[in-house]
Amino acid sequence: MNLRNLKPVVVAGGVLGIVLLIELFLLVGAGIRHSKTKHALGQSRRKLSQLNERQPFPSEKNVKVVQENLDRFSYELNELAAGLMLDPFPRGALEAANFSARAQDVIERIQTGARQSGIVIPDSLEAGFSRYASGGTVPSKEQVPRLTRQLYSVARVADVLLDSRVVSIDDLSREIFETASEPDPQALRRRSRRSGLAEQDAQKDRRVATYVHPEGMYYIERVKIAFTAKEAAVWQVLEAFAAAPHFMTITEFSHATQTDILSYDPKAVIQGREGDDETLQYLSGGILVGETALSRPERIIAGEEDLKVRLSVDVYNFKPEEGVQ
Amino acid sequence: MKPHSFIALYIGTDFIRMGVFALRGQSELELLDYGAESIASDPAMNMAREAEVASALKRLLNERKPSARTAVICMEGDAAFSRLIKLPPVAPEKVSQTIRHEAVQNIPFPIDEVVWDAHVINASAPEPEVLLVAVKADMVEGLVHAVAANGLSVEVVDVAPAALLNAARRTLAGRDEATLLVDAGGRSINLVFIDGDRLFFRTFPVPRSAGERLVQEIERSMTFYRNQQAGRAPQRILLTGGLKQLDGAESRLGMPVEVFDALQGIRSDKALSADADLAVLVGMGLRQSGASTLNLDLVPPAHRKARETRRKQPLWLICEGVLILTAAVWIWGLHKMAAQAKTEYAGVQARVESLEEVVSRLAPLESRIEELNHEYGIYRKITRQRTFWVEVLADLRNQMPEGMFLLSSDPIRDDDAVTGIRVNVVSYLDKEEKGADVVLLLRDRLRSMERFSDDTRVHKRPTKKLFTREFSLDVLFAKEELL
Repeated sequence: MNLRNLKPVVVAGGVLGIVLLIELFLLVGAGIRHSKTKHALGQSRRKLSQLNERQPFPSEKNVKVVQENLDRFSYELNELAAGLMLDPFPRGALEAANFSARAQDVIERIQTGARQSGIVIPDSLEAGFSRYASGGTVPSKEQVPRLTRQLYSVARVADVLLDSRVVSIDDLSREIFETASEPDPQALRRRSRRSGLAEQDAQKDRRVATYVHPEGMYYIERVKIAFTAKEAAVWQVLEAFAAAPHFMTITEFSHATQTDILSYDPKAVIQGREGDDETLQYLSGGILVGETALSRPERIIAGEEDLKVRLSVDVYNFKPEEGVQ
Repeated sequence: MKPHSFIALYIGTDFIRMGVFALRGQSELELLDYGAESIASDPAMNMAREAEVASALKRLLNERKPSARTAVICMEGDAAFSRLIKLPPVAPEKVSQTIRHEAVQNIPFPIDEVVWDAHVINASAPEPEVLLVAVKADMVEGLVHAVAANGLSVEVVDVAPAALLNAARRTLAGRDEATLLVDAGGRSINLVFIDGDRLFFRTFPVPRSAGERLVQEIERSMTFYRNQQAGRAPQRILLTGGLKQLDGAESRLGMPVEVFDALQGIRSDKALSADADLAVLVGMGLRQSGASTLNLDLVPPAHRKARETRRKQPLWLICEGVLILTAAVWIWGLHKMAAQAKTEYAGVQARVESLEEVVSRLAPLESRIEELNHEYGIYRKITRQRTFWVEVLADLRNQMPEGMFLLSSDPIRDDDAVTGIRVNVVSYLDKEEKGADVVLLLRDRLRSMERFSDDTRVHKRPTKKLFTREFSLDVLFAKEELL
């Protein structure tokens, strides 16, 4: 083929080819631009759709409504918090040298209150502060803040018991933290699991309180008590803890009814014919038999018998002051 | 519209004649230019002849300077082999196959060494006649190369008798008698019998100056045509190729002898065409105008392929143009769509930004509400704890049937957490319903309460005494109630 004959065609073809190449380049460019714009548009649409579906819809009216709701909620929450913090602990920390006197004062107040209310308490009831009371040891400076909070906590718990009609206060104890050189690692792990903190933090907690809320909203001091009371008084104690001015919760409850009915021995009935007990005489004489031997009032034990009750009480200290260690 | 112009070349043994034609309208032919150049070469040496033809053509082109670059070539009759044959009766679809078979049989050269073509004279006849024409491939290729070397593209290769026939048939339109066209060249003579649709031609190496011998050859050929080819006797003789008269032929052959005017009906400059031997060139010109009846194509296969390619070039350009147009439409469309999308994007984005501005004021409030809600949840949880044990014990008391009381209780611990309470219960036998299982009754009552888990179970089987039974239950708290 003679290329000279094809020159016009080749030139035209070449020019057209170049134009086509340029067009292809432009086409690709236009395609990319269009694709990018479309992509951006798609993203914007999706975003707009999300915004349109947002609850609440972002409007001036809703901003106002949400602001009003927040104000109302904030007010209600503050009211609730204020209700929980009716009886806060005193803010100022005791001096280490003054702690002994304050501990002695609290113990004496409990003992005096018990005497006045006719509640039997053991002579040794010093709520775990025996070593500090009566001019005892002066606690270290680091231990004073927690010891102070524990003293306040014990006093609040004792106040509830003294105001109830319990027969006796058998035990009133705090968590002894200052003597244990090394905490039980298993207990520490459990505590850290419960609070969601690392073990190191849990160990630090122990120097501060029985439990520290992970967000620092409150500390808990646990006080263990044991008392004896009739059933009505037990209910009164439980309700008093639920309604105490200082916020407290019962975390553990156990009891034992002080009754001997289950040790009833039919042989004693036979032997009882010789005695003065009419019921036993009737039983032995066959006037009363079997299951109907005792009258209904005689059978009512709960409420009539003393109950020995053990409680763990968590005393809350809300939003503790800064710097408490 | 610019007329399509082309060059017709008649390449003889020792000459090249060139006619430049323009095609106006459908088939109006105009002779624009004419030129001739002699070739001084030895025909025995093909390569040298090719170079000489190229050289002579170059001189001619330089002299006449035609603007057309398309050429149709015509070779002398003595360079071609021709034969009129009759095909056996065959089905129409097998005609071409039969013609090829006949060509192989009749052409006295190996079929691969020639370029050949055939013309079916009366296709509708039961045994149609076919004119076979063949030229040596190397010769025709040499000529095509020589022409192409001068920048011309070869469209058609034909032989002089065929071109003469086409030229003569145009002027004889409407006349039924057989005519003999005598083209007398300097070295050979072409005799072309035009007999209605039939045709026959022969070439003799007899110069126009042969006189008596020329007339004898014409007479013998007429006899041969009548006897061997079953043709009609010519009624007149037309002269061309520079032969103005044929002495004694008119009286001897008994028919009129005339000079053939090839330019009849063709526009041309009279000064240009005077004394020129144009019959063959006009015949080639008629090929291009589409007014020819005998269209042999002796272009070598390789050049034929190139020609086909050349003919398709405008199509390629059109395709390319269409592609460009399509791409342009796409570019325009994409630009348009991108612009629309951009406008829409701007609108949507403005709306998004305005909403986001509101969200930026709303989000801190919601975040604060979330914080307060979290704080409220904590307060709510510890507040519930405050009455938890009172409610647990009250529930236990309320669910116990008459004649039953709690003897003792102890917390159940899992790890450090209190998960339930183990209660020892005493039941008076006389207060129990006959056949009722008070232990399971209490257990099921407790299980049915939301506060207690379905896992609440009997811990110790009852020990029945004289008037009471004692049993213990593990009362487990529901998960939601766990402290």
